[in-house]
Formats: sequence, C-alpha cells, structure tokens
Amino acid sequence: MNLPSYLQSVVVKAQLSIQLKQNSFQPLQALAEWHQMLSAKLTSLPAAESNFIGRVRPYGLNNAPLEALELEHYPGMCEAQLHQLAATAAAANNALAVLVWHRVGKVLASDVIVLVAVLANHRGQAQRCSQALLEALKHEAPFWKKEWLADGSNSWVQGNTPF
Amino acid sequence: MGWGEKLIELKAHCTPLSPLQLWQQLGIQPITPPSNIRVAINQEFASWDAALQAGDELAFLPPISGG
Repeated sequence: MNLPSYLQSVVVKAQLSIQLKQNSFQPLQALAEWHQMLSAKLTSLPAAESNFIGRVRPYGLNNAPLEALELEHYPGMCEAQLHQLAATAAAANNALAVLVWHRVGKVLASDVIVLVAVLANHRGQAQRCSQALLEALKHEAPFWKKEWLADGSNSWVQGNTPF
Repeated sequence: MGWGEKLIELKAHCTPLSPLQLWQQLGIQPITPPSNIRVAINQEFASWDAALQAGDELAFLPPISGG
C-alpha cells in the first residue's frame, strides 16, 4: 500500500499490522498468527502485551434488540488514518508492535468488530498505548455506524458510546 | 443532505475555491456547515478555508461514530 506523504515522514519504529476485514475473523487465531510473524522478525516476543477485543452489543442505543451494526468507512483515508493513529500511539508509548484489525460492512450482534493488540517492554506502555489508540479510533478514524434493529428498522448512530 | 457522492463540473476559469465556498456554491443546507462536519482533501483532514486545486478529492465527513 502506498502511504500518503505525511505518513512517510512519521518515524515508524513499531511493527504495525493494520487490516480492514470484510468478513468475520477469530481474534485468538489472529493473535496467534501475529505472534508467529513477530517471532520470526524479533529474537523474542516483548515482555508485555495488551489485547482488546470489541464485540457488537446485542442492543441498540435505545436498548432495543439489535441484529447488526453496519460499518461504513472512507476507503483509502480510513486505512491511512489507522496507520497514522497506530504509529502515533506506538511512538508516544514506546510500543514495539501494534495490531489493529477492524471490521467493515455488516457485523452481527456479538461478533467481533475490533481487535487491538500492543506489544511493549512494560505493562504501562502496552496498556496506555492500547487505550490511547482505542480512543483515537473512536474519534479520528472515518467510520460510521448504522444500527439494524431486530424489528427491521435502521438508523445512523450519532456520536460515540461512553468510555 | 440526501446524497453521498456527487460529480460536479465547475465553471471554467473559476478562481480556486475553498471547501466552505464549494459547500455554499452547491447549495448544501444549512448554509453555514454544522461544526461537527469535517473536511478531507485528498483523504487527509483539512480546514474549511483550504485552497482546492484541480483534481482534488474533497469529502465532507459526517460526525465520526466508529471504532
């Protein structure tokens, strides 16, 4: 992927694994494959790791039963933003590797919507990087959610859920 | 707004427009963009008064609700 010029100026020390997924994925399998890939690049996996798995709540903002969330994104800009946000959070927290896998399209209730994993030398670095990145994804990555309720109705989500 | 994408041919020899001027030229309501609408030029966040160049890709982004 050709990154825009502003991204090329970011000194990316951390290994970044960024993917938008059209279909469901198994987060534990994704992590196992990531570990395997990193083990081949690094002499050993870093001491601290923070993992976050986000799933679709089975109810909407008004507590009505929810069938699915539809994730619309801005192709190109979305991938670039994820790279930039991950690189920034990693650099700010001295993280060594960051993985972000994010679903797009229709995601059924209880399915995984996002996986964020951070490897670092210390727990604080890994946890702080993960939290900062998750909040950045909520506010700076061009995704838009539409709720599909069990009664067949749908509506765009305004804003974000509470922390 | 009622639409997601539009291809618009600008008048020849028009002076460089800003996203704000283009928003108003297109007649998008309200005439003053809501503060939670953001602008991207060539897939990077930009300001409402940035100068658009020929061939630029402009996006008016609704409030982000993702992640």
